[in-house]
Amino acid sequence: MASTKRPLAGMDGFTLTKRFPLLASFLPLIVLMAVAYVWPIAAIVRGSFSDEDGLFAGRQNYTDVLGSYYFWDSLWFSLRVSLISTFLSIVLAAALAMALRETFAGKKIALFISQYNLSIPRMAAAMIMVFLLSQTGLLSAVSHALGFTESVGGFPWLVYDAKGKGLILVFVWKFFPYICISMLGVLQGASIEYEQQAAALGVGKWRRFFFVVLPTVAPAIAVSSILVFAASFGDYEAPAILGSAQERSLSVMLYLKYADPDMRDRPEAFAIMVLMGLVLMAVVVAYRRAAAGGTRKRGL
Amino acid sequence: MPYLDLKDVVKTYRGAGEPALRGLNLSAEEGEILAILGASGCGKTTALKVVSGLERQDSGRVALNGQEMDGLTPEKRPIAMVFQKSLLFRNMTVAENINFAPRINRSMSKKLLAQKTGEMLELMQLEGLGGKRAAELSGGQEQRVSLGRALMTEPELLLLDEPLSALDPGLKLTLEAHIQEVNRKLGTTMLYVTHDQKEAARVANRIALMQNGRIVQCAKPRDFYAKPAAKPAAEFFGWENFIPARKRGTLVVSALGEFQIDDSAAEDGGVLLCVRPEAAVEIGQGRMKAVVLSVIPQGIETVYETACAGERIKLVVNIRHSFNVGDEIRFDIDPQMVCCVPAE
Repeated sequence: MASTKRPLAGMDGFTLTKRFPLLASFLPLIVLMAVAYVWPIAAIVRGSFSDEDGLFAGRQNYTDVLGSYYFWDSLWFSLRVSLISTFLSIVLAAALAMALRETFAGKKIALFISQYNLSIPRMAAAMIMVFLLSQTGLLSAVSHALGFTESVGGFPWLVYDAKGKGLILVFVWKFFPYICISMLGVLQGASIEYEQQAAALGVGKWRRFFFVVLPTVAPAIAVSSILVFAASFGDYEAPAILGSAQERSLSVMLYLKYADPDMRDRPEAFAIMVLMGLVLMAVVVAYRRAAAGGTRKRGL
Repeated sequence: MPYLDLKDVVKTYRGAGEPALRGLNLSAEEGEILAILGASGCGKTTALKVVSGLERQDSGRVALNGQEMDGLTPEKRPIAMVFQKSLLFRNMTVAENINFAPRINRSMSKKLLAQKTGEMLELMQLEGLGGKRAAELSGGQEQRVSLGRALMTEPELLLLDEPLSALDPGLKLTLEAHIQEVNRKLGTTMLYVTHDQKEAARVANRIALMQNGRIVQCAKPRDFYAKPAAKPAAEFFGWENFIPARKRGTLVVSALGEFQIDDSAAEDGGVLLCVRPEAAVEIGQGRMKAVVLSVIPQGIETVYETACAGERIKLVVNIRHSFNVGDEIRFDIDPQMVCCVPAE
């Protein structure tokens, strides 16, 4: 006689696919992603609490790193360069997006010029800056030929300098299109309607910009500038090529410790990785909160 | 001199082959609601944008209360505009939306701003909603806020660009009455754009019918029903059967018979006799005969396309009378439902 009992929930092998078909279909991918993300992060965290032989070392690596002058110096250098780059990228992107949303002859060419650098690898961008801005570069030679500088060595240090001017230039040049593109999407859409509405209510141009346009694009700026900050903070290629001998970015410091043949610094490299991640997370959270507050206060 | 005066305004958008406005002439009197009526793409919204300064005309002039508006930026013009979308600032409260312009422009003291905001909330029937977020409002409430926000600037001219087109019919009627009430109370001159002839007739003191960037006829609503100036105006207001005829004085002779038409925009000679589809009376008993060519049921009424005296005419008949294709309909034409317009 056939059983009439219903299978218990969870006992039926097909319950998951029946009840959560979407989840079930994505499960293999979710597992793969979890392994791909979680395992390396776990390995890094574990490494940061170990010594060079892989034995548990407590918080020794963190104590060493946080007690080091070079770490704080590099952190400050990386933060300063990233923040200045992000700020300048926002300003440049905003000005360009405001100009590019208008209709004018040659707009397509202007759009291309403003975005072609997206396709240039960061290492190539850094090399271009060296060719252009170093004391033996093109600008220096032109400046000398025109008599602006007495010798090639008289040209100001724009790359390999302690303040990271060349780095900032590379990051701004490479990253401002990301912000510009995301702003343009908003500026060419709903923002125009709101701006026209404000104009038709007697609100002047600058007030419209600050009270209508800016709050409309604020979420787009917030998201894209976080990406720009994270990318410039964690970038290795450009600081490795353009950085000075005295001031190293955190990513260069990390790599040198990690790649040291001695292997004794590798646990500290793991600790720096974790600290970089925490700094990035803290900045992102603070930034998002500030942006959300601003949007709530003045946004649309 | 008209309060609002548009003379020979021409506007062609960049990249567009055809002009949006082709010598637009329009005038409005102080305190009236003038509807600009027309189908989509006829240039209504462009006309409003030119008046508001959001678009600059290629030629022609715009004057308000004797003052030239050309060359003034939108914010410098004593004009406010309400758009089809309410475009409320969603993160702000109703009160903040209402007092947006004077608050941002700092054109009122805080005390006066609060007082005026309260008065506007009352006028817009939004009492008690001042602290509510704009995102929480219904469609009708949103448009009231949008209207109140525009009126807070105390404009000399208020432009309304299809402000009720997104609302359901019941709410539309309520807000139409509200707009008329506001117009009566404040005496604000209003330019009201719509594509709905019934809405225009309900709201406006006068209607300017627009086609292809020009005004075809500007008159009181009843005139469009009684004596349209031309065939396009007649068509827009529901006149459907256009029969070639000859007019001499008040007598119009056509294949459908002779009609006495006292008031008409047409000169003597060849004209078009216009017969409303609802003109058929004495169904089944009248002197005229028509053969049914097709039947289109429309609820309580049925539309019959017929052949009558060598002309194709459309008749709307109550469903109490039912006919099939090929049947003969006997009827008379209500002389109140005919008019004539100049032949094209």
